[in-house]
Amino acid sequence: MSSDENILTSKPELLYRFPWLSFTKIKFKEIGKKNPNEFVEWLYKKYWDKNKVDIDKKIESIFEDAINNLEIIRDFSPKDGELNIYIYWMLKIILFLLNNQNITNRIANLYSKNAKTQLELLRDEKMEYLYWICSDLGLDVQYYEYPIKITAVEKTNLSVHFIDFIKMGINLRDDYRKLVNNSLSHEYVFISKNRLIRLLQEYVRNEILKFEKTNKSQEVPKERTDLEEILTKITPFKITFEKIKNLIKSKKIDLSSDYTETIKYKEGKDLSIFFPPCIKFLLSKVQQSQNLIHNERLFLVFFLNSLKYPIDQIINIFKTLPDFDDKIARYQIEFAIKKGYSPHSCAKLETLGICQKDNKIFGDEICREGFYSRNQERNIKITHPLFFINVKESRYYKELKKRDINGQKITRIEKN
Amino acid sequence: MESIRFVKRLFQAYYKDQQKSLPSVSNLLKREFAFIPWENNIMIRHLGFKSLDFLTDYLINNVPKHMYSSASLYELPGASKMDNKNYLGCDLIFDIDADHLDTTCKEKHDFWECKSCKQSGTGLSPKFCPNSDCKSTKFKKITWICEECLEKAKKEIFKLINEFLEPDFGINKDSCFVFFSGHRGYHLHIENEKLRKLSSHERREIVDYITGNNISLSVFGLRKSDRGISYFNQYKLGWPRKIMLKLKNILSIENEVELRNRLNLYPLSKKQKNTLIKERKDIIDNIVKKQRDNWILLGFGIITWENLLLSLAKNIGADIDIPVTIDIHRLIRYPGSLHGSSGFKVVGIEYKNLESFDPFSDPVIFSKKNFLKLEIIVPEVPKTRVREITWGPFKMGEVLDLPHDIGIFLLCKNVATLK
Repeated sequence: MSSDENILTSKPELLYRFPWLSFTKIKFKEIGKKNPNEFVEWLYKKYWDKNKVDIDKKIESIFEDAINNLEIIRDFSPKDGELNIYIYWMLKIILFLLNNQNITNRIANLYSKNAKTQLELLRDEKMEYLYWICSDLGLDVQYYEYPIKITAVEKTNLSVHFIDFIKMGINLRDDYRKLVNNSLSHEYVFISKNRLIRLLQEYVRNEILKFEKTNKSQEVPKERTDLEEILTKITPFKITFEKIKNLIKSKKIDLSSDYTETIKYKEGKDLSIFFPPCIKFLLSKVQQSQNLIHNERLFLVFFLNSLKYPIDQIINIFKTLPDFDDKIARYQIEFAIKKGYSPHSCAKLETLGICQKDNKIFGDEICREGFYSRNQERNIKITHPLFFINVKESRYYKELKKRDINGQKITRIEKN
Repeated sequence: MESIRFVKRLFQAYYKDQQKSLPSVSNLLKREFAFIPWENNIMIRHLGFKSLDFLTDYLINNVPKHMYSSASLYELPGASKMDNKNYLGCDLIFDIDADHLDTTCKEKHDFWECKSCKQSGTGLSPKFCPNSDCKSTKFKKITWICEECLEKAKKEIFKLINEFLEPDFGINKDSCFVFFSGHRGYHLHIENEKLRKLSSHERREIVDYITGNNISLSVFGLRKSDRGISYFNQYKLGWPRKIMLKLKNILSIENEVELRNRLNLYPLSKKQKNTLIKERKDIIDNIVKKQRDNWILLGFGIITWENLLLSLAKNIGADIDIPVTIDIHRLIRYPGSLHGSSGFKVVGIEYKNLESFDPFSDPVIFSKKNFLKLEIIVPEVPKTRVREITWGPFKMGEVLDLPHDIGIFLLCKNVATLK
């Protein structure tokens, strides 16, 4: 398929339906070139003057849907045309100003679910639309005019390069998304429509989260306050922004995006400082309302249960998850605890992609390199997260003891 | 110490000789270098070199026992902390280590000795000393290499390239750089910008694919149905095809004794093997002709099928050292350097020459004409071929006049000392 056939140029309705496509920036480049304040002013004016569309209400409704973890954006219709694109851009501006990872995650979840719903509506149309959508996102995809049979019942016209396939699905990790369980041949994974849509959903979510990550540079805080100052001079925007902030406050969503560990219990003993990187990472995800996959949830429950954390406290941890349901969570956690499973070993965690020994924030040298045991005269590897706690705890107390003896802090206790 | 000084002098002579011909790794300026000296086992790492000349000077002046460069590229490879190096990406590395392969020769040439009571045995060391009065957990271990284990390692490299990297990942065999590690196995490096960007988690997906770990047969379509066991056929791409072709190949063995021997490798009862043999034509038809969508075999429930197919998968997967591939900060032996535990050279091998590569001859750089006198200091040294001559076995206390090629090998293996 040659690039001059790009369907997106002749089918703007696809852009209205999928406002996260990068072709929107080309198609509406004149508007995209505007400064945020020019854009915001223009948007309110254009839609109020011409169509009496209340941008305020539309945006507020999206935030409500996100906070309520809905599966679709209620007030979303491809018939709204270009407005869907402008609203998407506007949301990004507001998310930047709010600087709340929790809210960004929820908007990302909502937009990704909405993307899935809209993509599924394409299913009866030509598969080549999916090809153009993938290409637009910079994915290396191939389109086959005649469908290729990939299972007894499924056919496909599309294949995705294995690197893009891995990258898109890396956070999903269930059996269907693993490369080993897919049809890989000559660099490309032959993929069914359903599975591709699920990966695209994840792609959309990550695109919004990627924006959140780039939001962390040192210059950003000043940029943010400057922009807020300028934009809140535009009265309708100021009203919208205040309404959203009030909505967040009323829903009691923590406005601070900083990660803090809140679980500090083990029969009265605070063990959280000794938690292994994998647990710290999962807890940070939970606190930022990021979704946890099944295996991650199970591991967290098994781990905390093995340290005898009370069930109510374990349930509380999961309350920030996008799909939290108190009754279901309680039933599942109680069931898992009743089974009495012990937490996964490090090898299993690596297999499941849960191990975080190399994580830049939470990674730990003991996980990567092991530690030298003087008793056994050899290097010992960490094979289990509970073993990690034992080692960390024992080092901690040894250090305290030494500090007591020498009256000063010893930074390195053992030589690896 | 005299033995070490002697070997070190010969290593130095080699590096001097290589001053102008030591191979360079790609992006030398962006790689971290590490060395282990002869005097102790403490790695000197976090070093960067401005050019190959500086590197060879370092080798001549310091004569390390082992030499490594990073599989990763860094903006500042010489920074002392990993976080300050500014990671740029990492080559995709595979390691096939004879030590990890399931070979019968280990029972013949590897042995252990209890450090406390001196009891010894062959094969892998036990957890506890079998001497009931001792029960120590500390052993001196001697692992050896032989034709069988290095041949098996080479076969695994071929399997990795020809059954996975080229057909599935589309990686041309000519862009795979294969190296003999100088001792127990082979490394395979792939230098590709897109692959370099893969995180450790993402590399795990490639590893799982190559080893067959985490296969889900139910995703492939194997499930219990009302009419038997719903299965998958050889026309489904990827692993289902590999598994079905393997099953078909085994069942196509005409000689029944041979077929039975092959089936003995899999978790099947005698009755189940008989059923497979009896029904094999039908099973092959199902795999090939897509005639039915269900298997109904006496004694074959879903669990039996799962066990059989997963065992086949285990057999199909390449036996790679998993942590090496998923580690994005790995240090790998430097091509052209000498392995301090064998005295053999780390040799780069073009794919077309891999078949004829002889790991007991091609990486040997020490003379067969110069001789040295040494004494064996371990209970037993297994037979060892170096170049065209097979030496040994030797016993403790034997004093031998040997050419440098085998002599240096024995000194590096720490089983002999200069006399």
